[in-house]
Amino acid sequence: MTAALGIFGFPHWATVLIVTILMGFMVIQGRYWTWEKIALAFCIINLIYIPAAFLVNPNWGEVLRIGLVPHFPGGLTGTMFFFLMANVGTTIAPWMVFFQQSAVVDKNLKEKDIPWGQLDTAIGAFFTVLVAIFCIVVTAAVLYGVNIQSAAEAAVALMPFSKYAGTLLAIGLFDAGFLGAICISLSSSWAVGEVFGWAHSLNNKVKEAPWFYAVYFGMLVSAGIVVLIPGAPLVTITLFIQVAATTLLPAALVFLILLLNSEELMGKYKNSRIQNVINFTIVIALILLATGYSLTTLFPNWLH
Amino acid sequence: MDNILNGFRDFFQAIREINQKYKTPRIKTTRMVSLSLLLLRIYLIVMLVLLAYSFISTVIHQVP
Repeated sequence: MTAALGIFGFPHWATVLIVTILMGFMVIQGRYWTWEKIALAFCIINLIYIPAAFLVNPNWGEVLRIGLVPHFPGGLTGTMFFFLMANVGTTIAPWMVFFQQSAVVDKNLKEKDIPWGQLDTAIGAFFTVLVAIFCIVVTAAVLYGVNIQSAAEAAVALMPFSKYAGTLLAIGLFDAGFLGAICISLSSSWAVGEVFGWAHSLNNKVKEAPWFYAVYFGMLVSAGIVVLIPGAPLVTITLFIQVAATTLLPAALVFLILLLNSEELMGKYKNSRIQNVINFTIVIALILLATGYSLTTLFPNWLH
Repeated sequence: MDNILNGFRDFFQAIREINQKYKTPRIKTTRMVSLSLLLLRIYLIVMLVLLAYSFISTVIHQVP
C-alpha cells in the first residue's frame, strides 16, 4: 500500500496513518454487514487488473500457450519452488479457513443458507482466479526478466508502456494490500478471540469485545511499524510469508477434512468420497510442493 | 512490576487451560489418523525451521 501510494507522492507514514484510521472506522461501527459491504466495494476495485491487461496489449496467443502448457523456465530449482509456493500462498492460505468460518458465524448464516454460502464461495473463488490470471498477464507481459525490488517498481515499469496501465496497477496494488490487511487482521482477531473465549464479533461494540478490537488494532499497528522500518526487505518478507502460509496450509486443511468427515458434526453434509479425493489431492500437492522446496533448499543440486 | 508479572501469569494460565480443554479430540480418530497427524506435525516443524533458516540467510544477504 505504501509503495503503491508512494508513486502518487504520498509519504509512507501518511499512508500507514490514513489506512489504519480507515480500517479502524470499518470495524468499530459494530455491524458485520457494513464491514462486508465496504470490503466488497474494495473487492470490485480489484477487477481493475482486467482492463490493465488489455492496455499492455500482450500477445494473447502466447498468453494462452504459456498459460495452458506448464513449463518451468530454468528447471525445477529452489527459486522455482519458492515462487510456486508464494503464488499458492497468495491465493489460498490457512487464515482464509479461519476467516470463512468466523465470517459465517458473524453473518448468522443458518442451515437453510448453505446453498447461498456455497454460491458465495464459488463466485469468490472464480473472481479470485480471474483477477490472479490478469494480474499475472499484466506483470509477465511487461516485467518478465526485470528484477523488481518493490511492488511500486512494477507499476513504475509499466508507465512507459501505458500510463493508464501503470496507474491501474498501482491502484490495484493498494487495493490488494488494503484487502489483505483488513482480512488477515480480522481473521487473526477472530481466531485469537475464539481460542481465548473472548467476545469476538464485528457485531459487538468496542466496549463489549475490547480484546477482539485490541488484537485487531495491535495487528494493524505492528504491520505499520514493519512497513516503516527503513530499508526493510518488504518484498522478501511478503514472499516468505506467502511460502509459510503454503507450508502451514496442509495442517489447517487436514483438520478441516477430519471435521468434514465427522458424521456426528456434519450429518447429511458429511464429505462424499469424491470430495475427499479432491481434498486430499490438494493436501498432497501442497506437501509435495513444500517438500520440493525444502529439498532444493537443503540440496540445491539434487535435481541436476 | 507485579502487575506485569501477574499479566504474564494470567496469560500462561489461560494457555494452560486452553490446552487442557482441547487435550482430548472432540472427533473420533483412528490410530492411523492420530499417527498421520503426529507425522504431519513433525514435518511442519521441520519445514518451519528450514523456512526460518532460509529467510534469515536471504535477509542477511540483502541488508547492507
